[in-house]
Amino acid sequence: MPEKLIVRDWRHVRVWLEPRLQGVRLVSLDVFDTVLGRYVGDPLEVQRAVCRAVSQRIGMDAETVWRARQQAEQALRAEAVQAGFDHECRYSELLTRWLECLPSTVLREQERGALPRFIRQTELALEAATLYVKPDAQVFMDWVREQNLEIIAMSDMYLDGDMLCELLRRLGIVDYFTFVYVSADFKLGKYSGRLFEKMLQVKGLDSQQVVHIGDNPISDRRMACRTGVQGVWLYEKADLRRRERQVLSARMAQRGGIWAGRHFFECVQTRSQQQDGLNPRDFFFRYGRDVLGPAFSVFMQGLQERLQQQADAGKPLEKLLFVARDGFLFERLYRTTDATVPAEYVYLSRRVITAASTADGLSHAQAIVAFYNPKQQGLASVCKVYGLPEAALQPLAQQHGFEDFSAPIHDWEDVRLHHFLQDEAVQAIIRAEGKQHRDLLQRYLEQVGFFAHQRVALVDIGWNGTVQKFLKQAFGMRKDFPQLQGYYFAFVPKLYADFGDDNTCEGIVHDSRRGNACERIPAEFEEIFEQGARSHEATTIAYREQDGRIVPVLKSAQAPDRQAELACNPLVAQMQLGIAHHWGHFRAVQQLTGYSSQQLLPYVHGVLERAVVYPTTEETCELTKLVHTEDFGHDHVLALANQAVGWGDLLRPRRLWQRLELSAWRYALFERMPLGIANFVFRIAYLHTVKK
Amino acid sequence: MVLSPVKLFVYALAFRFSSGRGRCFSPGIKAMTIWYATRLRLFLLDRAAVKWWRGWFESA
Repeated sequence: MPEKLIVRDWRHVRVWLEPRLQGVRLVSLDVFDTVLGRYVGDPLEVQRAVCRAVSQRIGMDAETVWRARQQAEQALRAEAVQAGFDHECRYSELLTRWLECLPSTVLREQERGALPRFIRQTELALEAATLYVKPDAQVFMDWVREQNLEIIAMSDMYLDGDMLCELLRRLGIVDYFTFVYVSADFKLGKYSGRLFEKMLQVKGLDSQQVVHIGDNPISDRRMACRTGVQGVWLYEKADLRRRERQVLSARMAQRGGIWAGRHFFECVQTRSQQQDGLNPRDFFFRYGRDVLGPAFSVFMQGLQERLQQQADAGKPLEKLLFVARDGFLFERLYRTTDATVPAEYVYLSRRVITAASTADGLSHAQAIVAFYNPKQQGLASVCKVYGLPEAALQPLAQQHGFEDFSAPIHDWEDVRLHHFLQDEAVQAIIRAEGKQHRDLLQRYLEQVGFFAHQRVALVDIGWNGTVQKFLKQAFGMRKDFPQLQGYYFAFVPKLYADFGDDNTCEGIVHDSRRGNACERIPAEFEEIFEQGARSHEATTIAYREQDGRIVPVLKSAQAPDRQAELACNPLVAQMQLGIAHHWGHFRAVQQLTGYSSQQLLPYVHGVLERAVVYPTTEETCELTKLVHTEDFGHDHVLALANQAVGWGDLLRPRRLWQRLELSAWRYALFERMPLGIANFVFRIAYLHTVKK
Repeated sequence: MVLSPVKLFVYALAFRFSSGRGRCFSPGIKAMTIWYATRLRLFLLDRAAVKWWRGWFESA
C-alpha cells in the first residue's frame, strides 16, 4: 500500500513529488476546497439561493421549492444505492425530478420549457460567484504542466461533468485538466474508492502511476491508498480554521441584529481579499471600499427593493432622476445592475431650483434659508443663494438701513429685513429675475422628460430634500406635474416639513422621522458622504440655450471653491473606485445570501459609527486633506477638521464645546487623545444634547 | 474591515448611557457571549489539529 501522506501546503506537495516524477504519469486533483476555495462556509447556501431565485420566478414559497429539491435528491440517491451504485445523484436527473416534485398547478405552461435552463444557469452562476481558484494550487498546476504530466480533476459532486467543466472554464482553469471525473456521472464516489477504480480502468493506467491530492483524509487519502493510488492529504490548517469561522458566522447570522450584516460583510471581505488582496491600494480606495462602500451599497440595495415594491403594488416608477452632483455615484452604481426603470442624471442644484422659486417673489421664510450657513454674509448671501442681482438690490437695501450689504444678519426677525422684503420695488426685481430662471429650468425639466411621466423618483444623497421641495413649489400647479418620490441616502428635514400632496420623501440609511438615534450617524459627518458620492464636475449655477437645447452652466473653474475641488478630485476618484469595487462584491454575495437591506442596516450603522466617531489616526490625517464645498450659492470652502484638541483645551470646556459644535467632523479633533476614550465620552455628552 | 462584536458592543454603550436606546447595533450580551465562547471552544478543541493527529496515527 502507498505511503499515507499528510502535507501542509502546495509547496510541500511539490517538494515531495519532485524526486518521484519518473514513476508518475498522472496527477489527480480534488476540486472543491483543494483547487477551489469558497467565499462562504456552507455549500448549501448556493442551493438555498437557487431555490430563492426559482421561487421568485415561479411565484412559489422558497421553502416549498427547497423541500421539493431535497425530496428529489434523496429519492435519486436511494435509487442509485438500490441499483448497486454509490449514494450519488446527477444534476440533470435531479432537475427533471425536482420539477416533477413541484406542484404542477403553480408551474405555468410557458415556464416548463424555460425553467430548467434558468435553474441550470442560476446554479452555475451562483457556484461560480462563490468560488475562487487558490493561487498556490494554480502555481502547482503550472509546475505539473511544465513537467509534461497529465492532470485530471476528481470530485464527489452532484453537478454533471459538463457542468463542472463549465464552472472550471468560468474560473479560467479548465485547460489544466485533460478529463474531469465526477461522482455524479458514474454514480461512484471517491469515498468508496470506486471512482478511483473507474478512473484507472478508463485511463488504462497502473495505480502506482497516479498521485491524487485532496483535502479530505478519508476520500482523498485513505480510499485512494486502498486502491493503490498514492493519496496525499492536503492539510491546510489556516483554510480549515477559516471555514470553521465562516460556519460559526453563518450560524450566528440566524440570530438577526448585527449578526446577519456581520456575516454578509465577512463574505464580501473574503471575496474581495481573494480577488484583490495582492494589489496595493491607497488610503482613499480602502476607505471607499471598507467604509463608504458598505453604506452606499446598502443604500443602492434599499433603492432596488423599493422600486420592486412600487412595481409589486401596481404603481411602478417610470423614471429615476439622479440629482447632480451627489447622485452621480448612485447613477453609476445603478447602471451596473439589471434594473429596468429608465434612469437619467439631471443637472439640478439647490442654486438653480431656489433661483427659480423666486418667480413669485421672495418670502421671509425663503430669505432666511441663506442664513443657515455659519459663514453667511447677510443680504449678499441671499443674493447668492437665489441668484439675484446684487447691483440692482444694493441701493434699495441701503434705503432700508443696510449700510453694509455683506454684513451677517444674526437676528432673522430683523425689522430692516422685513421692510426690505415688503418693498414692491425689491420684489419686482426679484420676480423678473426669478421668472427667467424658472422658464429655463422648466424647459430643462421638459427636455429630460420630467413632466412626461406619471411617477418619477429623485435619487440623491439627502439631506433636506431642498430640490424636491422647490420643484413642487415652483411647478406643482402644472397639471402634468408627476407624483414625486424622493429616495435619499439620509433624510433630515430640518428646513421644511410639508412637501405637499403626491410628493413623498424617504431616507433609506437614515430618516430622522424614524426617531432612531443609532441611525443618525450620516448626519454627524455629512460632508464625507457627499464627497464620496459627488461628481467631478462643478455645480450647476444656471442654464442657457444652445442650439435649441437647454444646457447647464457650471461654476467657473476659476472660483476659489472649484479650485479646491479640482485639487481633491483624484482623491475622490480613488474613493469611488473603492466603492464600485465593494459594490461588485456586495451584489455577488447578496445574490447568494439573499439578505435584505433591512437586515444589513444595523451592522452598517455600526461600521459608520466606528468610522465617524472613532476614526483611526490615518483616517483623520488623510480625510482632512479633503475640502468641502456646497452648491447653495456661496464660494466658501469648508475644512473637514480644525486643530486637534489638546489636554490644555479641557481646562476651558465652554470654548471647547463651541469649537466642537462649529467643526464639520468634531470627533476627528480628539486624535491626540489615546484609546478613543475622549471620543466615547464626547459621544455620550453629544447624544445627551441631541436628545434634549 | 469586519468589526469585532465587542467593539460594536462598546460603541452601542454610548447610546445606552445617553438615550437608553443602544440596541440598534449592539450585538447583545447573550449573543456576544455565545460567539466568544464558541470561538474559545474552537480554539481549544481545534478540530483541525484533531484531524491531523488522526491522520498521523493512521499513517504511522
